[in-house]
Amino acid sequence: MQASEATPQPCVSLITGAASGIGRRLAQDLFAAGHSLILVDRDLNGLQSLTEPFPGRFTLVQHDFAQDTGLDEHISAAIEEQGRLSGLIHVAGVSHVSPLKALSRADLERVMAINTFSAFDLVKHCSKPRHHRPGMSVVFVSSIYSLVGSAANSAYAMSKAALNSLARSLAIELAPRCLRFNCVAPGFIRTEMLDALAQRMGPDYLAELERLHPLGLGRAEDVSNAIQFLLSDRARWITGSVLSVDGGFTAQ
Amino acid sequence: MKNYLERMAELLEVDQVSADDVLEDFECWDSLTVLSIIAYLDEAFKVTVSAEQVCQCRTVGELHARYAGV
Repeated sequence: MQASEATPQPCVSLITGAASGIGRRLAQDLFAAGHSLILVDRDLNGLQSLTEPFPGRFTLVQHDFAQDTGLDEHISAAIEEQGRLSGLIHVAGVSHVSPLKALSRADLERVMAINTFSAFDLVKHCSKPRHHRPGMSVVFVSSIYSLVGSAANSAYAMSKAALNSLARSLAIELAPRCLRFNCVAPGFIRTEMLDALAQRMGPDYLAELERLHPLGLGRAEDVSNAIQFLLSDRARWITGSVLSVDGGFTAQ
Repeated sequence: MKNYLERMAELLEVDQVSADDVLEDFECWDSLTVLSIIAYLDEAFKVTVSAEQVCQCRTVGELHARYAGV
């Protein structure tokens, strides 16, 4: 066996929303597993604090999906630096709690731009053969609200349900090229985003959320574990799926 | 104040409101309306207000004075 055959090339994964919450935990786990990473977030300080222990194994891309342009060029340059992608994980997203009567078209378009159109732009660019390795696995972080209804969440639900459909369609379309597309649909997990929402909603909000999950609120590592499985060869025959990672929320 | 009253009328689902109107007297006064007001105050006045803070205001005018007045 040649030395080059015995030495596997490190996997390269691109994660959006990597500075905090699920994306940050996933980045930490993939670094620990030996991946090189391309990390995208509007919070450059957050990305820098994450990557300090891993010199050379990352490329940072500061990008705000709500307003910035030019992501394709930055991603191409990052792939040039780190290597072609084995994994693409779109975690970046915003919540938007607003009843219909307070929800404007502009609000809806903003939520869709960050949560959904960004995913479309990413896969369109990264699915070009020169940007990925054979068998690249793509994972979108969707939501329980892509599967069940919730008052005052129509914009968010629309944006996440669209990810499910995008994954299913691309799973069929790009199966001949051995690309896999899946979603994870997390329930409520303790992140900064949830804590900020809880502050607005009142002292009983978190307790009520806990009650709605048979296994209690989740943790970022729970979702990271599921994503890592879908990225791995163990999920080689899984595509077009939406994996509920929700402590039983949608089983009720 | 005029814009505020017009927007509050929309959120409270009536044709018009005045500053002296008592919030909890409106037929549609519920948790979703409170959420709508929170979203409106955030968008229009860049203030983050909790549901509890909204409910502590008795009238349309008091809400404006506390969180939307300049």
